[in-house]
Amino acid sequence: MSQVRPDEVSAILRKQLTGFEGEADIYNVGTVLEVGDGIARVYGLSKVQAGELVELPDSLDRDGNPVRGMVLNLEEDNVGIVLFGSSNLVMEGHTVKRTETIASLQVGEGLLGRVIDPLGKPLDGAGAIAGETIELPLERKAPGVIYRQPVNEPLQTGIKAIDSLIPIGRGQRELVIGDRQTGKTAVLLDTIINQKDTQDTDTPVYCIYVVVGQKGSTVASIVNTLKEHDAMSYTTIVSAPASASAPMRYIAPFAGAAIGEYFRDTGRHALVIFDDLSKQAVAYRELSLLLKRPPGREAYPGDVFYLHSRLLERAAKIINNDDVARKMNNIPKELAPKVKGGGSLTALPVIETQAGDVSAYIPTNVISITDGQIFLDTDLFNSGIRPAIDVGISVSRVGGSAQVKSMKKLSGTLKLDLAQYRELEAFAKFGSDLDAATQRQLKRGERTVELMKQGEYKPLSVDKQIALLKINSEGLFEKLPVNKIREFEDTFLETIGVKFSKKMDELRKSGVLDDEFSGELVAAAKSTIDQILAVAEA
Amino acid sequence: MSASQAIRRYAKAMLDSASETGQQETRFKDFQLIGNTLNSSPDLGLFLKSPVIRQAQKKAVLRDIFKGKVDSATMQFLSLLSDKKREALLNGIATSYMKQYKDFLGIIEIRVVSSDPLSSDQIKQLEKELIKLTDSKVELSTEIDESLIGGILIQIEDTVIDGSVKQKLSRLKEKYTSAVFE
Repeated sequence: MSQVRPDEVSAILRKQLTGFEGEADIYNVGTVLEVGDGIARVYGLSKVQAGELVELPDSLDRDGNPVRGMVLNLEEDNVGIVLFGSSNLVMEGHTVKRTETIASLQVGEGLLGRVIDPLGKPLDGAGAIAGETIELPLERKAPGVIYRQPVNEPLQTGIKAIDSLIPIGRGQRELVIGDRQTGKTAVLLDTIINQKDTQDTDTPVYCIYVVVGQKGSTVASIVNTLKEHDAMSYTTIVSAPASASAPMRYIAPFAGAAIGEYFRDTGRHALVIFDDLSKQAVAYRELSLLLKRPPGREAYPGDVFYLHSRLLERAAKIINNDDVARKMNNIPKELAPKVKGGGSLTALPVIETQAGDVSAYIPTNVISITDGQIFLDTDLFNSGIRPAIDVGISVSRVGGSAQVKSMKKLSGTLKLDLAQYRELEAFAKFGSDLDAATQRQLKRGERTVELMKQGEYKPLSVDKQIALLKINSEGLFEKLPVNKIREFEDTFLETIGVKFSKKMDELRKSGVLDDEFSGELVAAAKSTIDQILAVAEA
Repeated sequence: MSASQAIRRYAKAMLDSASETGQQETRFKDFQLIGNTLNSSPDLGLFLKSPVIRQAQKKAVLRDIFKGKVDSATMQFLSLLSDKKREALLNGIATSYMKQYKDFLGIIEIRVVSSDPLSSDQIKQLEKELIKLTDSKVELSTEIDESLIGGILIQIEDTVIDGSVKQKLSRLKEKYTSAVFE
């Protein structure tokens, strides 16, 4: 066991104490004029900057820490401040002190596996953030055009319907939109769980889950689910639940983006999920109205579009050239020596609609900002199609170029099948009155829809998805009754997992399905189908 | 127009009109008297702010209180303020006038807080240093605050020069609790 020598201790103490006597501190102060609803108006603070953090040393919370706030309004004779703590602790005449730091948080590798608040304070009771951290500002300008490149690597969600029909690339912004109780969170958690496979590769994807305005119990269950599936070790949760103050809910997505940028700018890949931005917009509306900014449509302030556009612009694929990447705009000083090219930040913002109304203000804004949307539908959810993705109106504008080769080829016919099926679906009730070609089309569509169903927390790796889609494109499912498809999927995946484990690994890495292996897969599928049919008849 | 803008403008107008006749000093004393009266009698402030009380009554009360004690021009100003229904701003205007007058003379108000009373020698020396630092005339006001433990705190407008033991101890605490020891 190593020992600590007393003279070593006193040396360190002395080192820390030097400068204690030193000179007097000089700081800028102001006085609280009025306070209420999480907002304080302050007289003085003549040199304060917009977005700067301030401290109220007279207003102490139960732990003896001063209440902190952020400067949002600079007016002619007063300063508007939003309070992160309780406004009950602040009284007229209290002193407000500048901290001379723009709102920021400490970011480092130690954040993985942790639950923090938007200012970086740990909330999981596991002590301080370990390891080296650097201070990153919450608000940072998005990288300029010369530091970006088009998305070219896939971000596998592990969900068949998404990876085949609405593929997402690393660096893309894809909106997840739907009513409450349509399985939005489940889709997102599946995506995080599926990134476990990438952790052993050279390009792991780190995940950040930003919770805005959700129930505290939701946060707890997200943490538990991720822990159960070993997904917490590469995930950070930024929590601003419904009980958090409006400013906390407002800055939480920016904190998530700042953490994501740390990975993005150091040449790695990160995925940030904002669950959800409609609640952030509500928090921002609350602050804006209290600060007496003029209300616009649905009482949102005029800059609510900019609120979301500047946040989502920070998700980007950085150019794969270290020399160019190093010159990137607005890199914080501490981060500069670590900058590398080729990183990415993928954003999956969530919007909750009311009764499927996508033409409300915030949904239309965010739809127009993002590179596509995944639309989750209540009717589909209730009719048992889960995940309840409406593939008809869901799109991905840039993800196609990032799809693996074989998947791209197979998804072409899949899209066509489903589109034709939707057109004919209305005629399905006429049953045997239809001609043979139409009946075949309906049969095929029904089975494709069934194939797209997937259990919660059961993401599939891309090789398995390709194998299943290959069997579907060969039309083998038409022999099977619809209710046997899930059974086939389980048995088939198990069989080929054992039989062709090496070839499946290769397929996962290369993404190319050669003719020889596809022949073997079809043969294996045929024998599995025969088996299932034999058992059913017996 | 917001109240604070109105206050500044009335005060500036008073200062400008006083400087035309060279009466800034007299008017300064008038406003000092008005300010002190309002501060020592909160009832008067409430009376002037009350929307229930009639204008004429407010005007009469102001006349009765300040008649003969302030300059005739100031008296006229008080009645103008009543006519414009702006009596509630009186205290603010008085404070603002004093501030603007001091700015005009180049005097800076400085607050000095110490844990123990300062000797007159100390104050004199401090004043000399502060004149050197700010490069203008200064007006010191001293306060005692035992919670500082030792040392002094000087506030020049919204800038604080904090040399108190309390601040140093809190800095030390911060240093020890946040330092990373390797």
